[in-house]
Order: sequence, then structure tokens, then C-alpha cells
Amino acid sequence: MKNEQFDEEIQDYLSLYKVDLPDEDEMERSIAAIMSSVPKKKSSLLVWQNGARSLLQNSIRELMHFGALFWVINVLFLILGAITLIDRSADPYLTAFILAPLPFITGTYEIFKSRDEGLVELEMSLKYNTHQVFLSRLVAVGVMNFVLNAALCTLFASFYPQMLVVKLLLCWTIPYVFVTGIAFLFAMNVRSSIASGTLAAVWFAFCFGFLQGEEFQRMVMQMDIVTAIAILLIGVMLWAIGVQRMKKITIGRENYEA
Amino acid sequence: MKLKLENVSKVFGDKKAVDNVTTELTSGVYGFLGANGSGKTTLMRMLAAVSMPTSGVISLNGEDISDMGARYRDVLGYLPQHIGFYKSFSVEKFLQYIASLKGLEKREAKERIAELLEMVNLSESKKVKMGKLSGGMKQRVGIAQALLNDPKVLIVDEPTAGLDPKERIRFRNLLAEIASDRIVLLSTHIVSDIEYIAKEILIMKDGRLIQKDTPQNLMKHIASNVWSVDASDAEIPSYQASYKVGNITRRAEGIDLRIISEKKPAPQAVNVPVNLEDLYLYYFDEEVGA
Ligand SMILES: Nc1ncnc2c1ncn2[C@@H]1O[C@H](COP(=O)(O)OP(=O)(O)OP(=O)(O)O)[C@@H](O)[C@H]1O
Ligand SMILES: [Mg+2]
Repeated sequence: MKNEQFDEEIQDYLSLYKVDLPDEDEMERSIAAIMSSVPKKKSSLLVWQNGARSLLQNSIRELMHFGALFWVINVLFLILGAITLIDRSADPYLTAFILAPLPFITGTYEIFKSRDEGLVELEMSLKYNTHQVFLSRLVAVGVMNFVLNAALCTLFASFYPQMLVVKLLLCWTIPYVFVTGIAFLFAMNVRSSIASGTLAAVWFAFCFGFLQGEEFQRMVMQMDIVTAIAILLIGVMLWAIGVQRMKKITIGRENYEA
Repeated sequence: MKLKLENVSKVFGDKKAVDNVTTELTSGVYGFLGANGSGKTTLMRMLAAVSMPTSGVISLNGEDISDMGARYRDVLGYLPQHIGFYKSFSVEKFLQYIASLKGLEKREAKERIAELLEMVNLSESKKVKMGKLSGGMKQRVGIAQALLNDPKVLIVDEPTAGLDPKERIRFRNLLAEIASDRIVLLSTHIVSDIEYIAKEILIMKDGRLIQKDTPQNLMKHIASNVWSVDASDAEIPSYQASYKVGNITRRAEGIDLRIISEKKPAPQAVNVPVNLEDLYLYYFDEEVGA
């Protein structure tokens, strides 16, 4: 009984007060303010999974949209590699070394083509924007390169059972990681149509000199594992720098304002 | 739905391209007028989240669009003023590609693309390579891609540039049709593009938003400033030197000048009904020293 009375009293008392309802703007502003401190619903694992899935999907899509030239050249490299198998006098280690960064070098054209064709402006407004597009093309080219090299190495290893697998691996991972790292940084700053050509020319010139200079060749081919790993690490570092700079270009946006 | 700009500015070096713009857009078509270099593109790029304001906030329904990120881009359709295309892609392939970047499912995209190609009258050319299209056709592909994801916010920067009159009318009708439940912001130099479909017209000058009102109100605002003057050939240069002269019409009995002026330019001048061309002249034609 007493409680009800009390309630009523309070009700009467409260009705004396007029409560100002905030207007719509004020409500929106408070909601916006609160929003930023609301914990994100998704767990980080889920975010990571979703990110990985969309990166994979995007990479596959980008790969399917690469120009015919990319495929033709890469199949050509594979065939070239296979031919050296028939010519027993060729050094498979050298072949692996020379061919290793080529798919990536041809791929630089594809990675940055939206920049050179004037599509970045539009891309940046899409759900999967320039940053994701560049990243997925990078993954597409990188994985393509990896698959081609792996195929070639498997081929070699099965033809020459006496081959040293570790040496073979080093012979292509070094150019694959180190040279592509340089190529990546270079292509980021140059029109891609020029970049691919220049890089290919430089690499071939280097390889030609490499084949001539016996001393240098021996030095590289008989590199000890510590030096190899050091070079690999530098390559990885170049990549890290490249990806970081790419982020700046595509997320920092302003670089593209012309 | 509400797109809100609060004190939005964009500075390039020491140039204020957009100067402290505050306004609000809700569903409907907004026509965006301004002379070359007045800051239309700069503002639209910020609204498309392609560029960040130097200062100020743009929010959709109360949430900062730069915090929304992909969620904002998901409801956005944008046609840049200058847009490139992959030349080796066919029209259809290009649209499919953009659709996938917009996160559309394959089947959904296919239907939508067929529908849009019909809308922009390009069904017949869907297999043609982008590199082989005419300028106006490319522009129509650009319009189609902006609409792929059925955007809630549509930002089109001079979408009618390069379109022939028939296609312009088609585009105008298309916009009028879809604008009922979305925000459409369209910049143009051709006032007839927006004369009948714009809910409001925004006028930019030197980076500032100097007017935002319905076409009727804006025209009413300058109603007493539009004159028709009978003149002879010989008098034309002197009128042009001291007034903003619009249309010059030759008649059997002489020449009729349309003049924009706060004060009566000649004794025989009479006030005539205002149209949007006059509005444009009123705000933007500065060469003459009226
Ligand atoms: N990236 C940039 N760097 C420096 N200045 C810029 C940049 N972008 C635009 N501007 C300047 O900002 C001003 C506004 O340009 P904006 O392109 O927004 O004009 P606009 O109204 O779209 O013109 P138009 O009708 O010619 O398309 C111009 O003076 C232009 O020179
Ligand atoms: Mg512009």
C-alpha cells in the first residue's frame, strides 16, 4: 500500500517537470559521438577471415582479367625452361635463376594498369577500392609467379634426380624475392608500360653479363646459405617498404589528385 | 536519408578550392552550377570519399563518411569528370568487372547490366571494345557503371558532357525517375539538364556555395533584373560593353537583346520572364562591367 502511495506521489511530483526532448540533430550528433566508442561487433579473427576470403576472391578475379600478353609471355617462359631440359648441356640452376622473376616483371604492367589508364579515381569510390585492387593484383601476380616457378622446379627435379633441391630452391627464391622487390618499387614510380619493358631489358642484360662473367657466376651459384638468407631478408624488406608505400598512395589518396 | 556537410574546405597549397561549405542534401536531384574552376569537382570528389576535406566533416545520416569506409562506398555511385577505361575490355566485360568491385554477385550483376545497357541505349554495343566507343558512348557506360549497385547517393560530375541532345533527354528522364528515394548530385554547365528535374540548385563561386534554393525561388530572386531591349545593330557593342547581354534575337522589325541588369538598361526596356540561362548569366558572366 505504502509503496503505491509513494509511487503516485513521485508521479505527481515528476509531472511538474517538463522534459526537453532533444531535436533530431542533437540526437544524431550524440549517436555519432557514441558510435566511435562502441566496440566493433566482429571479432578480429572473423575480420581476418573475411579479409582473407575477399583478398582471395579479388585476386582470382584480377587474375582472370589480366591481358592475353601476360599469359602468352609466361607460357613462353615455361616452354623455354622446358626446352633447356632437352638440351642436356644447359645448367638447370641457371635456368631457374634467370626465369624466376620474369612472370612478376611482366605482371607489373597488370598491377598498376588502372593508374595508367586513369581508372584510379573511379576505383577509389568502389566497395573494393584501389588499395584492395592493387593488393589483390600483387597477390595474383606473386602467386602466379610462384606456381610457374614451382612447376619448373618440379620438372627439373624429376628430370635430374641428382639435383640438389636446396640449391635449386635458393636459385629461384633469391631472384624471386629480391629482384621482384626492386621491380615492385620501380614499377610503383614509373608508367607500367615502360616499367615492364625496362625491367625485363635490365634483367636480361644482367643475366647476359652473368653468363659471361664466370667468376661472378661461380660466386653467386656457390653462395653460402648465410649470405643467401641475408639477401632474401633484404628482398623481404624491399617488399615491406613497397607495400607500405603503396598503402600511402592508395589510402593517403591525395597523391592521385591531379 | 541525409548527407550533411559541415564547414567543409579543401586547400591546395595556398588555393582554397572549396571554402567552408555547410549544407544538407536529402532525396532528390540537386543541380550543381558554377563557372570553370569554381570548385564543383573538388567538392564532389570529397562527397565521393575519393578525397579528404582539409577541414570539416561530411556525414551520412549522422555518421562521418570517412569512418564508414566501405559501407559508404557500398551505397555510393560516382561518375568522375574525367574517367579512364580499359580499352581492351568490351562494354559488357567492363561493367561486369566494375560490378564485381562493387561487390555484386555474378547473376545479380548480369541482370542489372542488361537493364542498364537498355537504359543508356547501349544494348547493341555491349560486345564492342571500350577503345572503339565514341566519347558520348563512353560517357554512357560511365553513367551505367555509377548505377550498377543501385546507389543511395549518386554523384555525377558533368555526366552530360559529350552527349547528343537525344541522349541528354534520355538521361534527364532516367535521373528524374530514380531520384525519388535517393540523393542525386549532378554538376553541369548546361542549365536545361537540370531546369525541370532539380529539386534545388546549388551555385558555387570561387569555392563558396553562394546559393542553394529551388529553381523557382532563384528565378524569382532575379525577376526584376531580366530585360528585353529593342536595339539596332549599331547599338549592340555599347550594350555589350556595359551590360550582361544574353540572347541576341534578330526580328523582322529589329534586334531584341536580352539583358541582365539590376537597373533598367534603356527607356524602352521591359521586364521579361526569367529562365535558368539568365540565372547562370546573372551569377557567372563577369566580363562585362555592369
Ligand atoms: N589537385 C589539385 N591541385 C591544385 N589545385 C587544384 C587541384 N584540383 C583542383 N584545383 C584547383 O581548385 C579549383 C577548383 O577546381 P575544380 O576542378 O573543383 O573546379 P570545377 O568547378 O569542377 O571546374 P570545371 O567546371 O572546369 O570542371 C581550381 O582553381 C583548380 O585549379
Ligand atoms: Mg569540374
